[in-house]
Amino acid sequence: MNCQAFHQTFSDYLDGVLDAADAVRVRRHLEACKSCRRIEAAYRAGVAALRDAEGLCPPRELSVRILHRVRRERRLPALSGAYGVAGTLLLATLVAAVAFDLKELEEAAPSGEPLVAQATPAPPPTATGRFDHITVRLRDVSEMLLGDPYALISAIEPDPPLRIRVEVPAVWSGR
Amino acid sequence: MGTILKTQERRTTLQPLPSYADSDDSTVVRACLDGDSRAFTELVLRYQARLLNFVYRSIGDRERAEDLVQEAFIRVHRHLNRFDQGKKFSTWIYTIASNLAKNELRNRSRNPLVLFQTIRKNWEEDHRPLQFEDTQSRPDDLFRKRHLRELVEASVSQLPEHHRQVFVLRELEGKSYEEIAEITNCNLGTVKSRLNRARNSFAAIIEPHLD
Repeated sequence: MNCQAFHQTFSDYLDGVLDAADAVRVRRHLEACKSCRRIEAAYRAGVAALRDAEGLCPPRELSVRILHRVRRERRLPALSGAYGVAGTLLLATLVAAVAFDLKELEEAAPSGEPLVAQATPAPPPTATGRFDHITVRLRDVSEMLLGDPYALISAIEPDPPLRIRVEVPAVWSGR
Repeated sequence: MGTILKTQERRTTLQPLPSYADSDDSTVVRACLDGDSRAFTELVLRYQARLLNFVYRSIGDRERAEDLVQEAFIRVHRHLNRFDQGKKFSTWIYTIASNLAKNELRNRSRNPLVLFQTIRKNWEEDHRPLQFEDTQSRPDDLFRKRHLRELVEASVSQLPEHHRQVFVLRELEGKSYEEIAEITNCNLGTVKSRLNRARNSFAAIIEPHLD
């Protein structure tokens, strides 16, 4: 056996699937050829190091994210998967039809009369002062779920907001 | 009467639900198809780390790998009713993840803003995740181990994409040739020849660095 033949049978040799005669030939070649011996040793050391290396550990929020999306899909089956495109097109058609009807109504209505009532303007600042917005960050839900591997399911029942924006008097925010 | 009924109802809901930790994949999949959402959670917990490492080794970008793993599970959930239960679930989920990784690499080659090789070359020491110190080994052993680990990781990343995938599936995921053929959508002969080339290349990259 020469080096080229060794390289061609390398994979089968590593998997131990060579027939007895070929296996003997490979072993004899390895005894005689330093270069191929080094190749074999390098391969085994490399694979051992790869297997020893610690793999990536998924962050805890990955499973929470996945289960959230799955739950959202369950809620809106018509807008997911193969039906997604059809559902979106149908929705777009409905929106276009309603917009077109409104436009026609608006054109038919006497001028100066608004069809849609104006939104109520925001209340003026109170006597105590101005308002400010603060963002409250809640604890990561997954931190509270250690112990029960299935607790994720019950925890995602209501969509847990991780941040909430709240309007408070400016004096509270301290800004 | 109303109160008694309510108490009985509550007792029923508080009964411990079955755990799937000791069940095989096919049992968990069947439970999932029967509508038990806890079974799907079990599949996520069982496969997320394996898929994350597999996809990461294929595309070399951790954040993107997480996104693709998430997408893989969404597809599993969406199409589980089409899964042939006579086959191995692990092969099916790896096939989905492998296709997503291939698409990602294809999209990148069309828009080559970030190439994997570039990431690896520019990957500075400080950007690596923190690791706990191994207090059992001597400093020079630690250095050699770490050097070897970095070397082999870089060697894998140097393999061409289709060689890298069969190599990782065989050596790190322990898949059979038949499973690899199914996952990569290749025939058995192609898998064997790609693996042989990948193994030879991997050894040739490492060999000059071996003491």
